[in-house]
Amino acid sequence: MKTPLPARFKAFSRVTGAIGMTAALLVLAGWLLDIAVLKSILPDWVSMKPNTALCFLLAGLALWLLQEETPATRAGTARRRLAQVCALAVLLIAALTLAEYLSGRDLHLDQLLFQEPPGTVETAVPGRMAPNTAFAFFFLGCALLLLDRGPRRGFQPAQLCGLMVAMVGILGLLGYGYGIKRLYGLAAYTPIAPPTALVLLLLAAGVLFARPDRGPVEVFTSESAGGVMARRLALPVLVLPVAVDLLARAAEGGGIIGESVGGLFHAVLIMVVLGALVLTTAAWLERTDLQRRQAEEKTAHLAAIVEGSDDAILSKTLEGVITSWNAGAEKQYGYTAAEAVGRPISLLIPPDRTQEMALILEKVARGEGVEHVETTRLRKNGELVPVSLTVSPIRGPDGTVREASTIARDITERKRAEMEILDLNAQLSQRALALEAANKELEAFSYSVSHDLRAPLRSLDGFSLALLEDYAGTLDAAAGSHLQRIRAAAQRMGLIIDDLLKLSRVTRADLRVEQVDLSALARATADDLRQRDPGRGVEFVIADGLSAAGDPRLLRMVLDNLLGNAWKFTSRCKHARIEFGARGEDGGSGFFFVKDNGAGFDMAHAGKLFGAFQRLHGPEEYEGTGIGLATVQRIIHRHGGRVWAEGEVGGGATLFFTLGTRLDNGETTDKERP
Amino acid sequence: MIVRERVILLVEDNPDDQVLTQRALARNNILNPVVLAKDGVEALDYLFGTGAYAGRDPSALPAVVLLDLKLPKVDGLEVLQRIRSDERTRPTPVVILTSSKEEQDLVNGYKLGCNSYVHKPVDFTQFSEAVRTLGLYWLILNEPPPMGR
Repeated sequence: MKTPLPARFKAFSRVTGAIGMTAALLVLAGWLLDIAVLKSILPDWVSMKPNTALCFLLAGLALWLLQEETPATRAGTARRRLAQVCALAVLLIAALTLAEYLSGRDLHLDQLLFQEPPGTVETAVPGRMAPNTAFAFFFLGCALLLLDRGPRRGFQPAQLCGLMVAMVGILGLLGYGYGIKRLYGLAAYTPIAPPTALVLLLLAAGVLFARPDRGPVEVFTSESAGGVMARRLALPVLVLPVAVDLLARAAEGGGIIGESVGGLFHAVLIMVVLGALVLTTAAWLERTDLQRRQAEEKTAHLAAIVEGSDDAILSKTLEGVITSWNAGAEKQYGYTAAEAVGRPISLLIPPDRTQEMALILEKVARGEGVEHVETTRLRKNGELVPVSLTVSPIRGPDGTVREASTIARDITERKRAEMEILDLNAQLSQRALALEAANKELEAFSYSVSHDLRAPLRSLDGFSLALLEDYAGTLDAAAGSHLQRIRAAAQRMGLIIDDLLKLSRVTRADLRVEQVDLSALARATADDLRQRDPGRGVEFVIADGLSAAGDPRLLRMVLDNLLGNAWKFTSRCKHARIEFGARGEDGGSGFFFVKDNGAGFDMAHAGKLFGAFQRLHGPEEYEGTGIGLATVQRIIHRHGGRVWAEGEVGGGATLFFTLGTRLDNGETTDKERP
Repeated sequence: MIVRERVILLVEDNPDDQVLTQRALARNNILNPVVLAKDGVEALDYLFGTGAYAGRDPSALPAVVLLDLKLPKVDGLEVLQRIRSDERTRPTPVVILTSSKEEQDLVNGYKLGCNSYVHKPVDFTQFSEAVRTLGLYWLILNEPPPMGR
């Protein structure tokens, strides 16, 4: 990262201080060790006097130490004091020397440090600095003392003093350059030494740029077009005319160009150089201007986005004063931008939320933002509006938080939707509870049915039997037959109750889906059937490896029913054959089937097969309640499958079924069909 | 030595079932005295020697308790729980004899510590058969718990 301009100028200032001190030390060494070249450089130049060197040393030191505007540490304050002492010393020496000149009295300070023999080159009074040098040092001392005085902008006393010093230096150098004695030496007095003039000029520049952000000098450190021009053009403008003139003279003197051409040469050179400078500067300005315009366009673009947004976007200072207000804010809050900007944000805040904004601004000042905070705001017309706020810090180029930006979204709609959802949820919960209660009642009902309905049946059966047994002698055949019918009816009713209960349990129970080995279940059922009636020889053909996803208990019931039916309806077959198998692929159009070669049924009545209590045979032919297949159908439907049958009278029957349940991820395609 | 004949405590509220059960026992030559309790309170009174049966010694355990579940006042499961929670009566063999086929009753019955759970069939022949089997098992084959004292 480039060092910012003010820092570079300040560094320059320090360097000049250092140069001043170095030069001073060299000259003092020259005086101490009596080395002529260090005192005068050229033999016919006037020497730099010891006091001059001393003043340069002090001034250079002061300039070096005066870098901090307001010292923050004890060391800083000490440095500043020392610098002020040095500057004061310079001032004193200069003042006293000037007094000497004005009064004509010798105050004995010229030869304090070192002796100079009388009659040295151009020196009127031995050891005494030139009056213009003293004059310059006086102002240099003042400048150093006044460095931080005066307003930040506008006239800086230190800079004015600095200019005076510079002028002495420039005149001196010009004088020597053009050989005009009057510029560097007053009357018969000692003239200013060339190196003195140079160092004075340097120190003057150092003083002028010691505080590059104050006063008129500030333009040199500015980033603007003005600053660029000042920096690029100042030095050429000062140096160019003289340099070109000297060059022209040298060329003329050296015979390279003719006498009268010198002036023309001078003019042409200036035109060329200045022209080049102007063109390059103009090009640079053009480029920066272009950049600026692009930046402005970008800003305008972003501003348009903000204006076009439906959300309220506004910015405020860290104290809460509104600084910008977009169209969305106008719409949301009812205040126009003119009404809102400059007013405190508390305008929008309902009385019960004042703490909130203070807290938010605190957070933002720390550099944190808040996101999607739900709160309420006040419209111009007094209405409350629920909003979702996002507040972010706006940082300046130096990274500190300057302001806060707020985006507020009207969430009335969302709140309403949320309320609706809560409402619906509440309704849903209530319904679920009601459902739960209904299920519980059903549960209780079934329980009561299973217990209380059976007891009287037992009495019916038992006492009928008791009559038969105890009164066998007195009862005739008809009476006996009646009682048997009563018994049979009671038992039948018991069966029906059992089957109905099973059917209701199927509907109520939770489906517990596992991978079920259907072949194994079928074999178990077959074994049970064989056990109940060992006398029958039935051929069971059960395919291996049949499995499906489903509730094992319920699937067992299905197989019990289907195989039980097959068993029942083949009871009159000589060679009964019952088959359980599957066709097709899993998940495709595959299905399971139970096939028997028993009594079969008329396909015309196939529609009635699965209805509860529907039977296609009378009880004298085959016993049964007519609920079995209804139960099977209900179970199959709960598994998302289908069940259907084919048969012919006397030619056996086949019951087909599919299961829709899948095991993957525990999902089922359980569908309740009416 | 007096051989006290062990009692069958039949806890059953349905009068028809009472008669039928006793009939079944008799027809199968099970001649132990049968004590009838028509609700849970009577059953507990008998077992703990309180109320109507005050003075009876609770440690004179019945040979078996045939316990129906659905009883007025105090139901069968609570009677079972009381039997099992008292030191004196804990060893009593309890056979739950009920029409209920509800799984929850089965679970609770065993959880509370019944010895056996038998479902009362509707068909009296089967019922009689069940009673015979029970009687033969609990009164003849099974060794009853020792009486206290």
